[in-house]
Amino acid sequence: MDNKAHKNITKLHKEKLGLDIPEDFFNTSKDSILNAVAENKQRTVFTLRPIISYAVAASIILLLGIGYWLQNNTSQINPDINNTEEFSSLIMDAEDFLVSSLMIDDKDINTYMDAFILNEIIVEAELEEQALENIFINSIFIEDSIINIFIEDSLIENVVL
Amino acid sequence: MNSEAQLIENLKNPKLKNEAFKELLDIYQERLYWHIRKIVVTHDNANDVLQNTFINVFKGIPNFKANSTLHTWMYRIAYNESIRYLKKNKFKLLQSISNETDYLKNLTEDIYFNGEDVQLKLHNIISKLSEKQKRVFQMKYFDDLSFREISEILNISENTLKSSYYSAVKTIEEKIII
Repeated sequence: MDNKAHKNITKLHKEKLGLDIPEDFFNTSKDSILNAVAENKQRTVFTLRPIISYAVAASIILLLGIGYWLQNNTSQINPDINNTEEFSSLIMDAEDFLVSSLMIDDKDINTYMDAFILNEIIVEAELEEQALENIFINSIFIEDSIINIFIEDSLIENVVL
Repeated sequence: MNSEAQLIENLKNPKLKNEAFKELLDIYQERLYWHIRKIVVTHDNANDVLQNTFINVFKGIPNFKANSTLHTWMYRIAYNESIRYLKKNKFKLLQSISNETDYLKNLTEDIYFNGEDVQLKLHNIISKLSEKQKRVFQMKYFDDLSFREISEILNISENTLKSSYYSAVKTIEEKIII
């Protein structure tokens, strides 16, 4: 080892720079350093152990959190369905969509709009289907000679327009 | 295996670590104390920094890769710890140590300074050197470190250090004669 015997280092500093130290300083310092290191080591051991328990606690909290979130998420879907039913009936009861929309809270307006559009589409589709059925029923009573004209007119009137 | 390698091995061995650390203290405590004392000036500051240095050495030994010698590695820790200490107490220390008047005031107010006019004059001259010149002169002259070791500790090229050292020596010689 490059162990230079610096036995005179304290003497050198005292003579050249006038720097002094308390009596028996290096012996007392050695003890205090060893104590400080031991104290630090104990503190390190103490702080390492809770890390595992923190990880376990964090995992449990995470699992509980996910469970709670999933539950909440499901319960958030149900009121929407209920609201849709309520809104549908509201649409059916009210003659004017614009008037009925005034009774809806701002936060629920999107759900209301969805329900309204859904309702519109279903009603319209049903009406169209009925119109097609009428064409075929009426066609029974029409003479063969003018059947082509009837079908053409009816289809233009009911389906295309 | 040389004795430094043996000491490092013992320090890394949990069963032998405590005894090896006591041996390490016996070898390096005094040298590191004086290295630190010249940077932080007063005995109380040096005592604090010395303790922190050995705590860091103890913590760092398991990761010591022997890229440098144990000797220079410990000096580097001591040097960094001293600078960190000065920065931490910068309003009280860093400015006063870089300012020569405050440096001397700080020095003479320390109860463990027993210098007379000659020593005070040397301190006065050293305090007027640039930071690099001051460090390299102190490490070379008082700590008896080689340029290669100082280069590793301060992370400055050997040629730059040599130039700074000879320039510092010249300045000190001229001012001491005057």
